[in-house]
Amino acid sequence: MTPDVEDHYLVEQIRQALAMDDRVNELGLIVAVAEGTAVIKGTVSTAQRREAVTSVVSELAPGYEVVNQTTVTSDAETEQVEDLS
Amino acid sequence: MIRLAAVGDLHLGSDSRGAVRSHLRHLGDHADVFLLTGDLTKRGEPEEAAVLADELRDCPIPVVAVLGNHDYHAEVPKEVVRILEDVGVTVLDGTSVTFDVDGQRLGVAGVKGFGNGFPGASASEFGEPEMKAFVGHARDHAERLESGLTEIQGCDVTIALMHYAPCVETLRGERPEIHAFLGSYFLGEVLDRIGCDIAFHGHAHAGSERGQTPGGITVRNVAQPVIEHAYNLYCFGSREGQEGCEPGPERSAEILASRRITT
Repeated sequence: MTPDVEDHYLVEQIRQALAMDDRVNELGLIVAVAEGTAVIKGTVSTAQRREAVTSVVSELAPGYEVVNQTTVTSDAETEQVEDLS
Repeated sequence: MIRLAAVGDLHLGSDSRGAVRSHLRHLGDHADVFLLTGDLTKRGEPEEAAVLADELRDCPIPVVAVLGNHDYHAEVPKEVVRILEDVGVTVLDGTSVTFDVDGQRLGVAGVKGFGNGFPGASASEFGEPEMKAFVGHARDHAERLESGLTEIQGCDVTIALMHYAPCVETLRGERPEIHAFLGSYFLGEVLDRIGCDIAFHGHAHAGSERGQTPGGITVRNVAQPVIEHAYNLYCFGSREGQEGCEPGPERSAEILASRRITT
């Protein structure tokens, strides 16, 4: 396999790892891989899971630079009400 | 006036203690019922359900929930339900619950739901047993939703609660290639055929909050990554002489006393 084809499949391997690994268990993260760099975007529920994203990807793809652009879901309170009357 | 707080996709785990409880203290000032649209836990482990149960134990208003796909991953959903029901949460699965709120009867029907897609791009109950099982599961959940919704048709305000999406509009932002895994037109068809005042769902973290079914039923995607709040607030009906929906006295005890669960 050429490196770009390997990267093509690595995207999915990373997505599946982030879904299945107990440290993250996030199904909807967006992954891009190219030229030795893996970029991960999307939201996770806690800061610990955000840190774990880097760990999981680094373990799966050693030698790749991991750019973790995930954010932690906001749980700010609101008093705005949608009136459905 | 009936006031609702709704959120989904909390994905609680051992690293989430305190995440929900801190937002519940004044919830009774703004809502009469708290609706949860599934993916309550990270992996469906009983220990995670116990974290959520501790968070909700002292919730000042009745809590009504459905499970999501994450809540099934450890393959013990009944244990997750038991743990939540032990602290007073009403978990719906093709069932319904009613409450008396401010002189009106509120009915909530709920089901997890499943995915098979939407018209023009949906899976067919054809071919391998696994494919028939996939679509059959979606159909089964839609039939369960229909059963629950039918039970509450005499209520003044009716709500459908689910995890998977019943329409495409609240999936705006998600890649179309995965819509079949995010919701099912079977659910929307039930909403349009039976009718309800509003449907809440989660599951689609990159979707949009507002939408409606082809028949015009209001749909809200309240997955926490979408609404970016601890919960969103909705209300039906204004008290005579008031404009809009305003905070009111906490009346949770009388609402909870009026709870009727149909199975």
